[in-house]
Amino acid sequence: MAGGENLSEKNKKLRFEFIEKVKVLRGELKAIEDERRTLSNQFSETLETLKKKVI
Amino acid sequence: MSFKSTAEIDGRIHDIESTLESGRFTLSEERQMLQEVTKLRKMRKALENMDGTSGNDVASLRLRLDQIKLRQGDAEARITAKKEEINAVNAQIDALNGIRAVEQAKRADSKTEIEGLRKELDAEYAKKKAAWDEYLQAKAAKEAAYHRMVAKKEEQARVNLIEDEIDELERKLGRLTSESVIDKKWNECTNLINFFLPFAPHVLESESGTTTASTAKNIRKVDQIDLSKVQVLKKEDECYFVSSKASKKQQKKSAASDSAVASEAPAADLTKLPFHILAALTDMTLPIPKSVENDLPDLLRTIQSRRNDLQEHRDASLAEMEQKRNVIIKEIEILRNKIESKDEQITASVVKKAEKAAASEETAVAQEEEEEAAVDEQAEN
Repeated sequence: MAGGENLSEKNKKLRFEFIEKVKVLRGELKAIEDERRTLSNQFSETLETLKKKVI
Repeated sequence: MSFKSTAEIDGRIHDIESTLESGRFTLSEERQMLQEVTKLRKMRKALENMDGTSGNDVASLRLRLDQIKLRQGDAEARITAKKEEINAVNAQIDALNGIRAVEQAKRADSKTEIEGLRKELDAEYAKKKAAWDEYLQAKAAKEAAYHRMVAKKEEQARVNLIEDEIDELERKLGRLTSESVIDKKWNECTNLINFFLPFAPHVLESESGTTTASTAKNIRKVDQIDLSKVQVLKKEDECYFVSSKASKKQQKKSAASDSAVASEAPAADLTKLPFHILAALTDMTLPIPKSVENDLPDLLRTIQSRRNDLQEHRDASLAEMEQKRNVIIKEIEILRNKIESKDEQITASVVKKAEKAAASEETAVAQEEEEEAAVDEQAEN
């Protein structure tokens, strides 16, 4: 019983660490997605400008 | 650090920003990173001006679009990598959750088992308690029966004791009721007077004027019997003590002729006196009269004077005896009431109380002894 309790405590700690890691990764993912959105906007603006120039 | 294109500068800026977002740095490091990002942006702007990507001509715009596409591809790749990473960590979390679920199930099983055991324990406790209650009831019943038995025995002993006392008192009463010596003597005197008086009725009446017991008690006095008027019945011989030495034939004759009146009226010559009269005279040390004229008046006077002497003592004795009798009767009554009295009867509750009192007394004595022992020990120390 005592061993089970220890294992459970260890698992809890591990689980907490994983959740924290996921939170960090989600933050990083969001930053990259923001960057991609910015790039996408820049691409659209540049493409518009180019279209105006070409036409 | 030297950069050949704006993409390299962007990559570096992106790395720094990632580090900043992770939050794993000190305050001074953060300041340095922010300064570096500012510097890199300035450099990027300068480079753009140099390579013409910031220009608005078609070629510059095309170049810029290509660069943006490249950066977008890079961002997409990084997004995919991050998502994979996140999924991997999530999978690990799910695995842990699975373990957790198993543990929870185990815990639930254990809880169920504990509940079952607790119920069994409760049932056992209830059984044990019922048995204990039964034992207590049986013990109480046994104690009550024992107390009743003891009470019955003690009550019987008490009643026996009182009944012994009553028996003793009744014997005493019987002894009192029986004739006293004075009474006996007085009665003997009376009997003698009653016996001899018919022979000489004039003696006591003329001289002392006293009355015999029969007159005093209004008892019918037997008149002098005229023997010629009495029919003599044939009756079996009676045995008399004869003072004179008469022959057996003469005795038979006289007995046969006088037997009918011998008990009622004595013989005229006093030669044949009944045995009890002779015994009474001997007992009182009186002479046996030989003649009516010479001995009988003296004898009667002597008997009368003795009876008068005894009379006073007899009255006093009778009064005293009556008093004693009353006292004894009262005592017997009290004792009988004692037997019947509910207050004095020994019951089971009385025995129980007595046992409790004895137990508490024993405890008190033991405590006292302990205290004395402690005091002695202190004194020795």
